[in-house]
Amino acid sequence: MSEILKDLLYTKEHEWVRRTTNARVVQVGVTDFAQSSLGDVTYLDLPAVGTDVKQGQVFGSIESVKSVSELFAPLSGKIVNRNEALIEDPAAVNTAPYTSGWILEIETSDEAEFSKLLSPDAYANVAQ
Amino acid sequence: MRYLPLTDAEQKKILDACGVTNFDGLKKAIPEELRIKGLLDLPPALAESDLVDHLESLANKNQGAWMQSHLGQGSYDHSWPTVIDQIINRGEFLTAYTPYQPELSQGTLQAIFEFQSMVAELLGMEVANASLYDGATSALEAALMAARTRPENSQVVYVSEGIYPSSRKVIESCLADQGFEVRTWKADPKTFLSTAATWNGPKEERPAAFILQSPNKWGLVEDWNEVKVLAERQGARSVAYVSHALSLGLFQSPGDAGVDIAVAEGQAFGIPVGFGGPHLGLFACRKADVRQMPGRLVGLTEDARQQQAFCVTLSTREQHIRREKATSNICSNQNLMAMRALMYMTLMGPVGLHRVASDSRSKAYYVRSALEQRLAGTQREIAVLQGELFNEVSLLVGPLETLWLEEIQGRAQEQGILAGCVVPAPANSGYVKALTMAFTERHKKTELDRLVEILGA
Amino acid sequence: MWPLKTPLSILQSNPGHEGFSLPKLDVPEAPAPRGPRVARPKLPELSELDVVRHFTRLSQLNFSIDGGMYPLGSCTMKYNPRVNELTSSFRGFARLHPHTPDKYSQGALELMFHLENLLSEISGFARVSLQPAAGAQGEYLGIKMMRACLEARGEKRNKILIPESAHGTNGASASMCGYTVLPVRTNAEGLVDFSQVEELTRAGDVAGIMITNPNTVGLFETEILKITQLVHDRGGLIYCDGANMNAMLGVTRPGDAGVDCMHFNMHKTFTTPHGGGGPGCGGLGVSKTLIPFLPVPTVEKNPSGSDDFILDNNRPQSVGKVKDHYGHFMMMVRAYTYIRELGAEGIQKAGRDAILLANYIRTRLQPHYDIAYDKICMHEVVFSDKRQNKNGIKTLDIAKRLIDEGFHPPTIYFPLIVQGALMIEPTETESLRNVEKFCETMIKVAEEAKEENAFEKHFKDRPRNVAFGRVNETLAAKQLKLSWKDMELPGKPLG
Repeated sequence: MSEILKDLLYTKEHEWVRRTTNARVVQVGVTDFAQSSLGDVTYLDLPAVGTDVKQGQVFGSIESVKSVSELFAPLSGKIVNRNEALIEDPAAVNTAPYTSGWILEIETSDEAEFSKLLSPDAYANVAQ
Repeated sequence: MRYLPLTDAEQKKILDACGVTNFDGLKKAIPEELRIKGLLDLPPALAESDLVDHLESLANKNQGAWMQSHLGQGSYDHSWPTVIDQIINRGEFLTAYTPYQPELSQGTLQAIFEFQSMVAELLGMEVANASLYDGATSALEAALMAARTRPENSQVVYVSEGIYPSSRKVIESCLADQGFEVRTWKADPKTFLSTAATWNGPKEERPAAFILQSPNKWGLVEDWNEVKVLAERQGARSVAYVSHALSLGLFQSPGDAGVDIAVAEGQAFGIPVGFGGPHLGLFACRKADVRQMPGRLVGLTEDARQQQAFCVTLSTREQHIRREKATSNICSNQNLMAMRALMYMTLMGPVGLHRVASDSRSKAYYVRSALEQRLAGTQREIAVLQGELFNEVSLLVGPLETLWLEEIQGRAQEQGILAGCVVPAPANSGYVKALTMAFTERHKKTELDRLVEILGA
Repeated sequence: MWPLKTPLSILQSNPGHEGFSLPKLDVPEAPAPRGPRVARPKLPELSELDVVRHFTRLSQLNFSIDGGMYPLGSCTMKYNPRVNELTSSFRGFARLHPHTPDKYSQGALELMFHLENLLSEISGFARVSLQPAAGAQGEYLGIKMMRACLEARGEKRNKILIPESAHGTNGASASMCGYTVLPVRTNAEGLVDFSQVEELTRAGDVAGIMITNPNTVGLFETEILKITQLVHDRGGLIYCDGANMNAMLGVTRPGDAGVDCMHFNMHKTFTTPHGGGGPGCGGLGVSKTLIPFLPVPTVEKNPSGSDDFILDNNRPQSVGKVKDHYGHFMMMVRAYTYIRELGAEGIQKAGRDAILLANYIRTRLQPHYDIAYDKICMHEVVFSDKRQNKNGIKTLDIAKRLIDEGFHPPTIYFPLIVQGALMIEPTETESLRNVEKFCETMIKVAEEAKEENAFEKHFKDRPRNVAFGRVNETLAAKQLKLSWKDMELPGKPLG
């Protein structure tokens, strides 16, 4: 049974969103279900800080030994921070997907888009 | 039949287990109209001795394999240590599958790792793959890789005028499908070399790649620095296409000259000319580009008992994972040929490789000198191409001498000699055709003298 | 201790050692090359015996068909007849240069001509090209020719249908030709969903379909005639992936089913050796419609009526060249030798026996493993790990467990449409006794998987009984050491 945190929002592409102390900035990562399906993550292909992203569009990819998956922006905005440590060694995506395995921080541009994200219960239906 | 052990009794046993009375019972999914009735219209089975006799008689009809041959253009009849044939025929190499289960394939995997290492060393690059089909498709893949790493550049690839016509044809046919245009980077009509100065494209043009072949189709050694400088100037990627792997080690490697991607035809490393295939494509680049590299890669790792081990890696670039987004559709490498090349490089070592290359080159220079002497003072439009050679010499003819060229080749053939391959000369050079003659360490002085005798007439 | 390992050859290097024997130079030395001085490459120096030992020891670390069974679905790991190695080594083939004038290469041209005809007869296609280097190149050539054909008709179609069960090369090849891939579902019967093909082709803008028959779950596409008819009616063409040709030998012919082109995997169906990963040997059978677009040169009987063969480069509508020269000629010699040995009777028996043995495995293993589709299969059968999952055992665990029993694992995790797929193809060169032993082993593993604490007791840390334990693929991908230059090697620095 994969772990789902109650204080986060989710997408059906198995990503999570966490609000930060800054009202417009969110932290983004992949869920426990995602890391478990991928297997040991070996590489992350991420855009540079400052890049603009659009909700639902591909912004990068996450690779394991046997597969590669695209990463979709859960919300539109500008990338303000990347987890540089992950680029060096992505193991944290597997060991702590919701904490030290965070991937990006996005300064969001449209509050209304939050309504398109899934609640923990709604995500639980997607991730079985 | 010796490869088909199932007996009638065993067939019956299986049919019973499947609950059907005869083989038709297993064909239910096949529509009646598609089932073959009776036997196909094929010749009857052959016993081994008849089979071997038949193949031998076909082989013996290929007189070209016994003639004194100076055919080159990317395939060279060098000798190779006999022991290679013995080892490569070990069933553990010949009949092994792709090393996807690493615990069962450490022989193949370590060999590929050694191959990658040696190829990278010879090409002067940081990383090489486990091989591609041949030199031409490697050049094609290099162009595609260059384009992937420069998505903002135009979909144009320049190839040097000295590229083999057949390689160019392959590159053009395949790049056209992905919307690319192949243009010629002209050679200097006097020197027959493509340099940064001879490129006459628009200053602002940013093509995806420049490909320079050396030695070129006229046998001359090009300068890798030229493609590096030109590509850099135009914001493109530089590709070196080494047409004869043995030339490495005598001349500066593409990597040492700072070229981005290096490919080569590796057939000269212990692989028979075999009427054109299978040959061996070498491909190498810098570590920074490794994720855009096509083809199989083997990496170092360890096993659960901390023993040094190897496995296929970065498979996420390949078709079985990326499918339609793969860097290439390529599934196999030329493993058996790569193994031959590896054994060749290991047996020859740096000293042997240098010797073969140098001796082949000496034969070429000997013939060129002799031909120059014969042609001294001639008024006819026949000349020997000047410049730095590897192992091929070009005899140039002008428009009035093309008939003579045909006749002389005919006369050579009557004497059991295949004098060479004919390629077009550059426009404005004053010549129309070049007879390119290849030389290897196999050729004896007496054979070279015979060739010169016929051509000098 | 056994089998003995061997360090990287660079670590065994002994300056002054050599493994070659070259004649003395009998002409003057050429002048030194102009240009920058070239440092001697850092390659190992070894005597012949040391090289022989090195490669012999490496070979002993390999599993191979000669050593054991590979029940690899979709790979057709049948025995590689040794007589093929003899015939391909003849000087008349091995030392024949590709640019040899036609009149001195008649044996080679004749062989190619006959091989093309044999393959045409076996597969039901009007003509065959032997130019592609491997299956993937054959696919690419086929799609390329289809595109040329449609363009010649004035059609601009950019989409192509590919079943979701297809092999990865299909999509990659289609992309290389500039097509967008539209996936087609598999229905509950394990076959291509005809209704979806109908729906997707309705607009008349689809170039065609790439179908695998028998498909990747080992089933014959019963509706193949309906599909080819429909696609043709709507102006498209049909490509067939010939990886599973082994099931069709003497049984049925794709050319008869309306397929426009199909690639051959000579290294599967026609025994050219796998060699540890290649070379392959492709080949493409085409219908009459596609003949004008064949790559050049083609092998023809001399049009003047004389008895000889020529290479024809004068084909105005040809798609050009996908491979230098004529293809993998030395592999064609092997395939030709094999087909001539088998003859009509052997070809028929081969297809038949392949199907029989696969169905035998189906009946023996069905009580123990979840079968993907419960029906008669062709030359391969697909199971899933659903049943074993209940006790925490996965396909990968089963695969690594089998290694300790002396078998190469079956194909795993392909096709993607079956969860935890285990695809088993025995091939007809295995005796029934070998196949029975394989089945007994699989059953034993299934029994182990049912036990309490199965993973701990039987599946952990496998393989245990072979020279190497589980190889760490994650580490390889992370550290990316792809050459000995990336290693800190002990001993004297090189050079």
